[in-house]
Amino acid sequence: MSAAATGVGPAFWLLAVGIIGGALGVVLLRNMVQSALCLGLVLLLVGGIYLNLHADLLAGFQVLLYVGAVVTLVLIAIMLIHNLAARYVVQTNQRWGLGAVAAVASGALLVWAINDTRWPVTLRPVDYSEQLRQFCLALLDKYILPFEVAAVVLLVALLGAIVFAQQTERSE
Amino acid sequence: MSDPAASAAVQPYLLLSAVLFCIGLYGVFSRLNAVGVLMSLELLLNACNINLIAFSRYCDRGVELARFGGTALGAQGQVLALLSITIAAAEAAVGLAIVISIYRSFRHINVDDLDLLRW
Repeated sequence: MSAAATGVGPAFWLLAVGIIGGALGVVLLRNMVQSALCLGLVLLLVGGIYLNLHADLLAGFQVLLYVGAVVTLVLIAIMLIHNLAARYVVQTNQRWGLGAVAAVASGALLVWAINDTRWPVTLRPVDYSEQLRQFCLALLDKYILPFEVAAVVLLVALLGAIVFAQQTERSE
Repeated sequence: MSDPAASAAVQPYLLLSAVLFCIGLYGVFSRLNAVGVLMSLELLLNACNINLIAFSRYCDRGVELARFGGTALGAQGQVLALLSITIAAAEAAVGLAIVISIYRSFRHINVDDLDLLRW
């Protein structure tokens, strides 16, 4: 499958190689700090994929929310948990072989299904300002309820995180 | 409209997403500590988001706007991806708070040995 046939540029392939390499680093590296930094790289490059798909607003959200917030949270958790960052701790359970077989099998199924399906693609030109306007209109029109519910969920989840993580007096 | 050449436009994104999903799946299966499992879950969610944005770019039929009128084209998948990113942030916050809370009680976060509720 060459770049000329599929119409995606070399930027996509560079991003794809980076994403897959970084993702392998996330799941295979033994040092959790390096693993978390690989996660940050993968999330940043996924933002690049969004730019490649002309979803620049989502790329901004990706960088702000994932790379800015989630990776920071993960790094702070690793810092707080003693000897998680130790270099030579075994990080896989005994069933990793079974997990690899399951992952490869589901991957083969997905690739077969993707190649077997004829996707109903409509190619249309990109109009950035119009696209942003329609995104906002859709968010405030048809998807206003999910939007509000997501806001409430985020508030409740962050309050719950504070409740879980705070030091409590142990009442026996 | 759905000729094979146009259909191939969306395929590289879907294949990338499938590979990323499987790597994340392997991570969820094989990681011993809960933070590693949560990081692999982020990979899974990102694979889904790539799919949503790719379909939003290439396969969107538009969504009827009841109040503003007209049809918003290419917005459906992006709205879904935005909600997904929001929920993923909430999930990471709650998940890591639970992990830290577990670590306080057990002094480890080995997911194989957290069998307090198993009989």
